[in-house]
Amino acid sequence: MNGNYVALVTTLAIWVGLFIFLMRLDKRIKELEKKFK
Amino acid sequence: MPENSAGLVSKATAVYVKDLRLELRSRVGLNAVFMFGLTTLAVVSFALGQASLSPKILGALFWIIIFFSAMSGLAQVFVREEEAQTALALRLNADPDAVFLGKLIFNFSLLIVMTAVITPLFFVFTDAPEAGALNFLIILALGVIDLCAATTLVAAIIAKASVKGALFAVLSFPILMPMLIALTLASDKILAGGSLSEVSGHLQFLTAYAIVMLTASVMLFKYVWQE
Amino acid sequence: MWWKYLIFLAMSVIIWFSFTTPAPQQQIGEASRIFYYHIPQAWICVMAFTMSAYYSIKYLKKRNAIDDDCAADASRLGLLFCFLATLTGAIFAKVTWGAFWNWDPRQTSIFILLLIYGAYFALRGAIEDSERRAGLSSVYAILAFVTVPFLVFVLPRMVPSLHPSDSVINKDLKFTMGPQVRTIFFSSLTVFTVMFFWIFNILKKTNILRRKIEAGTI
Repeated sequence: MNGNYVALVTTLAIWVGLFIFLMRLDKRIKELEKKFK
Repeated sequence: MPENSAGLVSKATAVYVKDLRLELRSRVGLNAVFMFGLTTLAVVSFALGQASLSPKILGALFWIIIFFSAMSGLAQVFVREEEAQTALALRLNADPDAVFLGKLIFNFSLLIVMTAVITPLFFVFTDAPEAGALNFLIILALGVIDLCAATTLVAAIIAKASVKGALFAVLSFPILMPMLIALTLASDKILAGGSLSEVSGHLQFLTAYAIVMLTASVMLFKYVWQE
Repeated sequence: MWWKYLIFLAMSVIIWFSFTTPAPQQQIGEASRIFYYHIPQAWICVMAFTMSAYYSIKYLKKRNAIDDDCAADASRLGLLFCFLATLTGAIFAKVTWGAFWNWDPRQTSIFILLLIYGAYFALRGAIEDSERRAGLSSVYAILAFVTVPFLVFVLPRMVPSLHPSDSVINKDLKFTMGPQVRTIFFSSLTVFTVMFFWIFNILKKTNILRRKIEAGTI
């Protein structure tokens, strides 16, 4: 169970990080699109 | 523009003959291909000494030699055109299908000549069993066809690149790998004395591969040629 | 927009359950959990490659620069997922069979796919003129794509599988996949696919923006 716990936490951490990164990108793109349209 | 088949063949032949003449004059391709094959063969034979190799290793070794020899000599049929800047003249005088066909046959001839010399030498130097020699020729023929079917188009592609380097090998290898695997496996069985029926699956694979590659190459060539 | 938060939830739930429910394949044990990630990655890798070939064909027909951009971006994402699939596959192989690599037909196929992607970008890097780059790399993408059926369908039948490897396990997972395992697996597959298209769309919008800026329609 311990190994699983580590893997679980690591994977969740990676996922959360990735998601936040993508949302920020999305926001930036939206701003740029407004600016250039 | 409709081109009757007689026109296609005669134009392709003209391209082929032109390349042949150039090659016989300078022997650049032949040299590259022979030197590589002979050197590799000599090194292997020397390292082996009296020891003999299993059919599996012999098969793999043979195709390694053939593959890299091909890599050293099959690209120049297009690269030479670009470097000598005769490509434009060729483009104006012949349509893409004819050019491709001519160059394909040229590469094929180059490979045939090379393997005609290298193969017997290979059998002699590595003391490969003669049992499967005749069957081996069939695999060899298919292998050579597959090799030039796949690499001629790649040669055309890299001829137009600004930085060529090892691009030809880098691009060719992933495309050739399924074929090389089939060839190595089939060679293993044949050199161990197996019959052709044992490798019928591999032979079908190699034939299908040749047909698919040739068709795709012919269809895609005009896009490369007009760049 | 809202669906993105749904995806966040979905993926988090999937990750949670992938590690807390019993391992999908009892014979292999805990390591089999990696299938929830490894198979979707491999699937997306092939899908991305198909998309790249599709956009390449489109480019050769219409010569719209944006199609080449899409082909390249699909390939970039495909390369990423291919790399991930190879990695998770090798980890699984090490844990289960003791060696990271054994040239099992599927491993060979994913390796060749990796080489194809690498070759594609090597080619793109070697051509300076952007139109020529687009045309030649499109041709290569299509040519390489043509060899994929040989890899996926024929090779596994030809090459002797040294291990009671992938095919057996796949069958096992499919046939003995309990409802719980099936749910997690197919959810994972779906979410991964959605993620791919989300990222792909971001890249596509970036390209459109870049082209607009370059064209001077600021």
